[in-house]
Amino acid sequence: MDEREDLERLLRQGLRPRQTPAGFTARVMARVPGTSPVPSFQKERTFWVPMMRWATVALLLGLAGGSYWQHQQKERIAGERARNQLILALRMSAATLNDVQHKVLKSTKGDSE
Amino acid sequence: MRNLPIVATLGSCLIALSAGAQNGTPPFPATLEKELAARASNYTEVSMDKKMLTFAGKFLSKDEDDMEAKRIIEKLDGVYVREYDFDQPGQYTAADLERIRSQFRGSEWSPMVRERSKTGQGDTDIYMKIVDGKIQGMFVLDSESKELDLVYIAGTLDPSELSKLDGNFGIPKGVGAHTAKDGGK
Repeated sequence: MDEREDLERLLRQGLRPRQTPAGFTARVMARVPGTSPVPSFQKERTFWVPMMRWATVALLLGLAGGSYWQHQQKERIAGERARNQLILALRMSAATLNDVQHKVLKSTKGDSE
Repeated sequence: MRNLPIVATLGSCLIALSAGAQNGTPPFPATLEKELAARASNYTEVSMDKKMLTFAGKFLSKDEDDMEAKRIIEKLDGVYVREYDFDQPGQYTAADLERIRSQFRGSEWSPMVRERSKTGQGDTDIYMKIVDGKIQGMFVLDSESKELDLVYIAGTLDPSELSKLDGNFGIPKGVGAHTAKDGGK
């Protein structure tokens, strides 16, 4: 009889309702995949924050690319202008040298005659 | 001691001027340039220092003429060209020309060609800057009654390279060789 009573007592003790520790439900739910207790606003954040990040990166890349292209265009125009100026300078120098040559040849011819 | 700042300023100005001359700054008198430009009916001024020549060189194409020009300008420190066209004769004086020539009176400058007309409106000068037997610059003055041309090329000029200019950019054959021959005298 004693043994029976002891077993009964042990069972009652073991099966008696207990208060769950604080945060137990949340911890269990968090471990269950796909059932994390995420509020709806947080779900929206998880979608929009990376989107905003990518958009910012794309915008910055676009701005940098545009600025680089503009700089290249400006440099190309300035370079073309400088090249034309150089060719003009060489042409004018050549023309002046040509004139001088003609004058010198003319005067040398005149002297020899 | 009170004049020390003035002396220092003047000194630094002189140093800056001489540094400018070494860097291939056009030696034409700036005030005279302005005066001539004001009197001219049409004028062209092209100033290309070493920096500009290098920059322009990057934009030369790969055809033969451009490659030749690239090789020539590599050793140059500057190309300065002035062309003044006047409506009537007498828009510049012999004194004006003398002011320009006076910039090339240094011991390093040698007059190679010097032609004087009776009217003083048809003078021709070629000056070469020779340092250690090498041509370091060339100045050409060509004046006619209604036109005045000035060309100053700064930098190492090899007579054989000058002759390479022949036929390029409208330079007639023989001009470079002629100048080189004069330079070698």
